[in-house]
Amino acid sequence: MKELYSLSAHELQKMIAVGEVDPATLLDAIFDRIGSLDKKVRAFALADKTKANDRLKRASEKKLGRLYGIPILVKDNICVKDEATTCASKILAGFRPTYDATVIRKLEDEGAVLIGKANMDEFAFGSSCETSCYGPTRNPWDLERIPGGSSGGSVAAVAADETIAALGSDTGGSIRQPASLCGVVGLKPTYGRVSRYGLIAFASSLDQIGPITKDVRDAALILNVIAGYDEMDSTSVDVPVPDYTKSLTNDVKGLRIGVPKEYFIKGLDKDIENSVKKAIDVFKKLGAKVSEVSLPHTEYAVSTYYIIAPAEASSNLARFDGVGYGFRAKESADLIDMYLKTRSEGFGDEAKRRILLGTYCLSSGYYDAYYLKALKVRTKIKEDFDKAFKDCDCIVTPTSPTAAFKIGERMDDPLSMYLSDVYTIPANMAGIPAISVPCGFTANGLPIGLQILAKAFDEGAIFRAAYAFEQNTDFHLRKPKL
Amino acid sequence: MKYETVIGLEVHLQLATRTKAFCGCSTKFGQKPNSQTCPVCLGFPGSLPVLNEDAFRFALKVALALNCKIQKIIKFDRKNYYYPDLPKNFQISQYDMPLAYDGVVRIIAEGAGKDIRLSAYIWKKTRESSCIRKERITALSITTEAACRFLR
Repeated sequence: MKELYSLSAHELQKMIAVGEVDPATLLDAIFDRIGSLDKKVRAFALADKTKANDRLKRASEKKLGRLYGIPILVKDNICVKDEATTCASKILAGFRPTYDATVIRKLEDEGAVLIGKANMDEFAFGSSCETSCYGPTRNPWDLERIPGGSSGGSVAAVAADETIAALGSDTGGSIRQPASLCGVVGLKPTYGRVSRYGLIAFASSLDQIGPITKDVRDAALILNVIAGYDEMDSTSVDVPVPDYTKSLTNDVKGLRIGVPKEYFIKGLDKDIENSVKKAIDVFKKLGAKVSEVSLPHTEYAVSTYYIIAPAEASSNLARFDGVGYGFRAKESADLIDMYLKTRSEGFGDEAKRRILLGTYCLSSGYYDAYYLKALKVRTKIKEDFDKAFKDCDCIVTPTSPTAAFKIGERMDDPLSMYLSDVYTIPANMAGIPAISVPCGFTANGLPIGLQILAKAFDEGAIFRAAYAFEQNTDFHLRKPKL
Repeated sequence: MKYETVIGLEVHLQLATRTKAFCGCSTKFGQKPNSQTCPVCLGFPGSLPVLNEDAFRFALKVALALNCKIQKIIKFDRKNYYYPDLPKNFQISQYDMPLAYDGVVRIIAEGAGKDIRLSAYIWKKTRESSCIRKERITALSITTEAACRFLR
């Protein structure tokens, strides 16, 4: 029999329902796994077995929910009441939220068991999980390599079977790029599909919470639970939440799939290009109608993103000033000195870089030339997708131009790091949903991800395509040797 | 050089809502310091503002009374500045798209009727010291164009 920790949420859900598996035994198995592996992988910012046991006890006392007994890891930028929530930043050292994020409440209402907080790039600024104040998380497929980021801890833990599923957040690819690099499933839902109340904001017009799972069915199960309007988040949209598992039909006959020609360009690794092309052949064989589409403004996406995202971040991070909570520098002469010392000592290099960049772009006299201009380009990128989706139901692309790189390789070169997200950023700019599913391995045995995008609120089309692909391939079943 | 006096007015008024501008906390006067607070008005990380529906309605009434046009898109902006009584270090207020614009009030000045053109902006009053965080009341700022040339 397979080890409990290696199973998916939907397999465990059935076994728990018929009494074949005791959630307490499952929780033990997960914490044993964390105990034996996380010294190597370092996916966790916090793992607390005693508290997880208490949470399981509470879940057992009420009506058994749709995720009863399923261990879930949460990215460290999602607020959990009374638990350290630090965004992997020194400046939030000791901060314990007084409230639960809406997604936490929804997961716990359905019986899921939170097991800890996942490591991440500081404030989600990064594509490698190296900017964390806790040090880098490692890629379970090769411990010398990065897991991707910023949701690197969430993703590495799922890939290493240190949790059954996880939540991440995605502002420019922070769920999908690491999912691709670690060979798991990661979904960024439509902007407004999942409440962000309790998600510590990075870029408010781009951020979205989503599931990171071992397979497509688990992603649908979790989205079923966390999706929906929330009166605490004015940007969540009041449209009905379908049962996403109904889209898991293993049938893509007649589904119109677009392949954007602008995505197969210089900088795309050959192994990845080949795997993605083979994946497109799988869809053709299954009866999908594949055609070329054009997204002409793609080349502006990264530069536009690096104006909009830092601009919003610089405003969102203004609150971390040492006054009310978190880290405060010692021995300040006066208020201004306290602000300066606290923020100088509390933020890491990448956070400072983005705050400076963003503050500059929003400054009086530059706002129109940078932020406002970037918003206009963003509209053009969105219009590209609107146009493309007239002729197709889904768009498939590579998720990341390269497989996992070595730890330290890009830390001195921010621009090469930023280009990791060249294929994932456009979905955030357009507000549309996108998933990454495993679609192959490089010659070195590193995972490759396939990105599938659909129009706003059409996660159903993504699930339909992703599930059919998964059921007709076996990449998602392979596990790293640890 | 001869100067001409040209004056525009900014008039603040407080909207008599039962709850605060962007959360459900009570605005009742005279309560204990920090007793009427929540993660939203304390600006805690992860919290999000939701506009008070009454504040919006009251502002609309004022707008109509002042013969204003009503904006089709309601937009708020952030005014960023550091101050210890401002927990998020930005104030949420309307900037380039006031809720109500092109309003007019006719007054009698120097024996003749004069039209004063004006706009109305919603903003959040953030008067609070570091120990008394309770006044996050909705305020309306009514600004006239700088065109009063008749005041002596």
